[in-house]
Amino acid sequence: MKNRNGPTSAWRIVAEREIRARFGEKAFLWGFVAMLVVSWGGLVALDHFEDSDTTYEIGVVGAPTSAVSSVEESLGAGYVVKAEVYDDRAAAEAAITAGDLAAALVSDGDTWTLVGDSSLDAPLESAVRSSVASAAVARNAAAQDVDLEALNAGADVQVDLLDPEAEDVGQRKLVAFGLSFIFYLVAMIFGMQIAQSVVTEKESRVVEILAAAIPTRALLWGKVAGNTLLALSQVVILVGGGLLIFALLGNDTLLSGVGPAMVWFIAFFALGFIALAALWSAAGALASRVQDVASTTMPLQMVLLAGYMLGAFADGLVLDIASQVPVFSAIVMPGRLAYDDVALWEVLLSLALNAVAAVLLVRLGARIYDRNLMQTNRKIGFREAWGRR
Amino acid sequence: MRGLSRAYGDVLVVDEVSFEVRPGRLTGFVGANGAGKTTTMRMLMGVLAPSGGEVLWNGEPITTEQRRSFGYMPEERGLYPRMSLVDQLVFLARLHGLDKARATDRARHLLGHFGLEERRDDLLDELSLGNQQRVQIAAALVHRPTALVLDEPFSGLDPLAVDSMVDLLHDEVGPDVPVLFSSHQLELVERLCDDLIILSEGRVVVSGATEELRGRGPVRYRVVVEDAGALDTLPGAAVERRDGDGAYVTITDGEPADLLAHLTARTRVSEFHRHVEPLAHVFREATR
Repeated sequence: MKNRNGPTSAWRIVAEREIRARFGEKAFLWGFVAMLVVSWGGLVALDHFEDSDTTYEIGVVGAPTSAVSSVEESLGAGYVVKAEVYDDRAAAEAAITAGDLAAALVSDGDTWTLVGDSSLDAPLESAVRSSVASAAVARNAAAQDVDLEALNAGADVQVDLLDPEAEDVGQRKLVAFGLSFIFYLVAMIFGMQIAQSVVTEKESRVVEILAAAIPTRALLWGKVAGNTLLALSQVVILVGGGLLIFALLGNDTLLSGVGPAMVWFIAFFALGFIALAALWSAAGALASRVQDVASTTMPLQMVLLAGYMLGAFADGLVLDIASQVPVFSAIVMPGRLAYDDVALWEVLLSLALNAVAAVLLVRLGARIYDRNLMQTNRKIGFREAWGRR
Repeated sequence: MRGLSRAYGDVLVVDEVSFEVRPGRLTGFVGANGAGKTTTMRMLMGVLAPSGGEVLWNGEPITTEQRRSFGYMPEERGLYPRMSLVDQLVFLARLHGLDKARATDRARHLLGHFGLEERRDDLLDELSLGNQQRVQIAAALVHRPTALVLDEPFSGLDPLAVDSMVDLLHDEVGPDVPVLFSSHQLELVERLCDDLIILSEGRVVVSGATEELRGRGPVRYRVVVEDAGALDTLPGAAVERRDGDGAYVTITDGEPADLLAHLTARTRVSEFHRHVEPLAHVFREATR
């Protein structure tokens, strides 16, 4: 009896049960919260390290504090210099020894002394030298009635950076590393979940009732759909939240640098996860007890681990190849996009190859699943699994 | 079902089994261990693909949709151990095609019937084994099945529990629903079933209405008399077994009344009645 208000399709009921069962587990919820805290916290920390300026506290003895602001100017962006006025050199030296000051600038009107502890930061030292020197030159030029601009003509060096953003490549690589890790972790958690769910139905024998009620394919699709939806939602929340954090912190460099990679990541994750989903079910169907799952899922765990390792450590030709070999490429490519220049056609080819692989691997997984689901007595080897009718 | 067979490798476990389960009839499915009962029932439910033959419903090859409305209790019991009773039953009812509201009503109704209403949100593995068995039966009945296939439904139950389950089947199963159940407890099958099928080594050796099968044997009478000497010669009858003053007698010629008249003329008769062999006898004969 089929009508519009009639029974929901079986696979959707199965998917709904999968999702509700996960939400009933405390370990699942806390695991997700932990993942959010670690990954979002990591992004905030990344932003903090990038933004933080180097601060020098300088003691000033007998010199105007304006001298310090010209030092700060000479140091340029990324440095803050704070001036602290001391009455005599001895007091300033005591503060340096105590670690309260980075250095002290001592002047008796004619000579300037920069006092440090055991050594001085090179940028600070050269900034002090150049600001003192240019102040002296300006003063002397005025006394000698020399045109300072004419004197300085041709002395400026302009700096042109070819890749001004390369500075944050380190951070972008960290984001790439994080993306690979999230892929590995989420795909592993939900992959194992699919396998566990299948073997639990086998071990508790409820599978016999299920198989009598609905086609085993509906059971498979329901499981794959339910867990894919959950995994994908987690990834979207993680990545979407990450982008939101960059936007809130006003970190436009990282937002524009890794933002597109993070969006691609979702597409690659979806295809990569679906490609393996039916195989996880098959691995569950090959086991007959929950304990067997660890060994029947081993090949899949290895694939994910290898993809993660390639994403984290490969470079050059190996990286180029890994970003095109399906399933591995789903992990490698989005990470690479975060820091590397990749042509659009490379991304699209990789995505297309993953889609083809997903279709083939899902069919393979479904076939193994169907043939072994009702075998409740023992663990089954892969060779046997393939040949069984 | 017609000509249903199943082979594992070269071993034919079920060999061209054909029988009919009629609407509103309780059909017992009996056979020694390994006779092929469970394999046959699994093929009937579509859990196992037959090597040959087919399952028919109202004379036509059965469809997946029709099978979806069957109720099934497999030999190896099983439900989700970490799922609440009511969720479990609602889930299964929906898989069998009920909508959510009706599924919930039915699940509550059945749990109420078993006195498990209070515990409907408990997990299955928190229940006693007896109660788990009840939920298992409820799982087979929750969607108001159009046919019921029960594999050893009474195994492990005490006589009282068996009676209450039989009552439940009478209450919850519609009058036109065919029920097939397997058992090795012949006494139970004899008491409950309208029809009987005996399977031996993968073949149907006996099938028919229980009454008819019992009546199929020779017509025997139990006779107990005061003077056992009167049993020595009987006209138109043969003595099968003697035990002291009594005997089992088969009438070969004439009416029972003639034999009774013959006996009362010679001695006092304290017992004279038709003796119906228990089905165990039929079973032994059939599977010998």
